[in-house]
Amino acid sequence: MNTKVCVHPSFELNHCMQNSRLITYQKAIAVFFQMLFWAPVIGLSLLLIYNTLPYFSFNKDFDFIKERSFLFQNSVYNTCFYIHIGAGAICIGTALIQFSRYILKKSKAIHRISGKLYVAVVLFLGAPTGLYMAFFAKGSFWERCLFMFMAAWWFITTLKGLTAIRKRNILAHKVWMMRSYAMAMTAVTFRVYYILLYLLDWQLLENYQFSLWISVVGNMLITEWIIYRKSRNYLQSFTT
Amino acid sequence: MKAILYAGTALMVGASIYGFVDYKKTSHKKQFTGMYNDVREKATLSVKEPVVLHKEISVLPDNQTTKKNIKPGKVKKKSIVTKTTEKPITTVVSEKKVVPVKIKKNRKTINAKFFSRAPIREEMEDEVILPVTEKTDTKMEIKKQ
Repeated sequence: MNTKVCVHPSFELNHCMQNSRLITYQKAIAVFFQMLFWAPVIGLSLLLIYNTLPYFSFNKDFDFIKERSFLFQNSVYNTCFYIHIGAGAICIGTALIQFSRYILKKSKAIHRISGKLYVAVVLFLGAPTGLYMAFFAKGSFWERCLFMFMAAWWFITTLKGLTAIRKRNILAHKVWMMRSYAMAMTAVTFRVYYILLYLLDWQLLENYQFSLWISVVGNMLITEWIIYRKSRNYLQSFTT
Repeated sequence: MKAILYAGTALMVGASIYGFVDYKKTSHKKQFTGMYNDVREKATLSVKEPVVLHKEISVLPDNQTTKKNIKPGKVKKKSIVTKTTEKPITTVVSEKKVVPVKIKKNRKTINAKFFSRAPIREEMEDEVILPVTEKTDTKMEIKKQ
């Protein structure tokens, strides 16, 4: 015996309207939290790029260069430094474009061109020069090891992201590029922690070391948490 | 794809080897080991304490002497309570002349230029000169038996 539940059309219409309102409300909250994340990221990334530009006057009158004046006498270190900061600025600038769904929808060509630029700069310029400079980094043996790990992990994650998209595995490509971007963003988050701890009267060296560790570990943890939330099988994200 | 992989890997291996060799050459040099030492003096509040001139004038009869009974419970940090059983006529006149003090204050300000890996240099404010204040405290204790 088939029973049909007769529902008044007005009831269905009201129910749909409430559902759509709820969905719109949920989307608005999601967009709000996304803006809350991306607004400071974009602002601070642009500030980092802006602060990097004066270095290309090749003037040695900067505190960073004065502190390492002995190292800058070496032409190899000098060259690697300028390549590294230029590569870092390009990476951070292009990465801002890559995470935009709007640009991806409007023009995939822009996403592909800026993506190729990001990958090339990381694999051939940013990571190798960062690895070389890591041997002379500020801090103890462990900070130098951390810088070496950052360079290696940045290289590996970017390469894995490239191989994933070559195999047309978009999900894996997203996951690995998020991990690569997390390494690039340590440059930004380090500076945020550095300034915060400076305001809390931390000693310069301890401030530098602690800010370095929490920027790297913190970025990795946040990235893995985002990936974990979005993925069905989190552990599989490391093998694909 | 393989070319990118081999080229990138070769660059990374070359950078690590060259960096290690360079590090071994420079690690024993004093200029490298002392490079990141913070030589700057810590900027602290430097306050010159004012010069306080105390003049205690006690006026007592020649025969009488003062007895100082210090009760631990009632003694203030920098003062001695004097008690005399006899006729004390003490007048303590203390004149404090406060010399103008120059204080260097360190105020931490955030600048967009601090957004870098360079060591942050603290900015010093101008010297502040406090106004001169002269205080005179007179205490007169006259006890009559």
